Amino acid sequence: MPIDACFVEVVIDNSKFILAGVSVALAVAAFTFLKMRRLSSKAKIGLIYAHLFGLFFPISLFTTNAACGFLCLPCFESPLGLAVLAVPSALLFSTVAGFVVIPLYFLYSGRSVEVKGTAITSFISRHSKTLGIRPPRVYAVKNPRPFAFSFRSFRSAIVISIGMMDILRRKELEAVILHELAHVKSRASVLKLSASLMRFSPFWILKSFHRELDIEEAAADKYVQIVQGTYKYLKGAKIKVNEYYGNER
Amino acid sequence: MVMIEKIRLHKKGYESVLSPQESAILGVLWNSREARVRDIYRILRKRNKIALTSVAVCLDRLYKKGMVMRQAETGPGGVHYIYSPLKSKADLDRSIVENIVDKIIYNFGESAVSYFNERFSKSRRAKRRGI
Repeated sequence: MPIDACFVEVVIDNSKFILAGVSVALAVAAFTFLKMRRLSSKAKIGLIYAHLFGLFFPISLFTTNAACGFLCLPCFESPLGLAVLAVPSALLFSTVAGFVVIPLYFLYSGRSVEVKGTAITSFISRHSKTLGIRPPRVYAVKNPRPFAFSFRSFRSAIVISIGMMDILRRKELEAVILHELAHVKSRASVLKLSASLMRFSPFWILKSFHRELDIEEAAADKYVQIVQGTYKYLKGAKIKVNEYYGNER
Repeated sequence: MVMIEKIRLHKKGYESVLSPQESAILGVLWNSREARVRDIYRILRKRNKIALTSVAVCLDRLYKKGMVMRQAETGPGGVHYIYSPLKSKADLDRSIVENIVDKIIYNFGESAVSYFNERFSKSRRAKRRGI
């Protein structure tokens, strides 16, 4: 078949538009459910990924379709085959986008406040200098459940829930902050994503990336032990967090 | 609006609708007007063995039940929630009763309404007779 004819077929085939339409409908549905307040964090993260996948899939579908048509490959003739080819790239883009979107969602959904001029920010400033990194911004998320994570989009940030600050003593909170600073530092030197941020990946939801997470978590814990001279404060923080979630059930 | 999901008929007072820890925490908040998680924990641990995390979980439950409110406040040590009771003791009593009675009427309809009428008529008669 001549290349021009392949390209025309690519454009006029309705089945791809139907697939794309279904995908966008999925994105809209996921976004609508996201507004429901009673969802757990895990469910919200799942919905954000579903939403992103729904948005990226049509782009991936049409670009794969165009590429197949341009190269006059048989893949463009079968909608199902095309969808299968488009899924991996859509998954990849939505995962990468998720690493940026999800932390920003937590920060800018009106549920967090930047922490400035407190003992925490002075502590972070001091230890960032020691580590040779730019002090990350600190955000307090308005959530009674204890959690903390760090991420780096344009500038690093450490995010700590108010619930975490409520239940930990000063030294325990410092241990958590040092742990997150270690993640920020490791990302500054090597281009890899923090284990704590991997908690936001769909792979964590599927529980299939444990080994990588364990190595980075162990390194961050080790850093805390070196700075504080003991593991007891970090251990105390972890015990309290586990206790909280245990009491919740 | 106060949300009551279950009632323990064998218990008295607030413990019929709240756990002992939740009742104790409300008591502390009515006395102190507002408090952080740690402040409430310090008061309660003098009376009974209780974990800080239990206090935090109970406060969140009370918040979801519409019995306390919370505000985030930035201090030298970071950001903390300040909890305060949403209603006075008297108002809370009324809200709980309203909630429970409404649910009974919703579930049992006519039977519930006629029982309440009979019961209140008996009480009024007894009051008039000075019993």
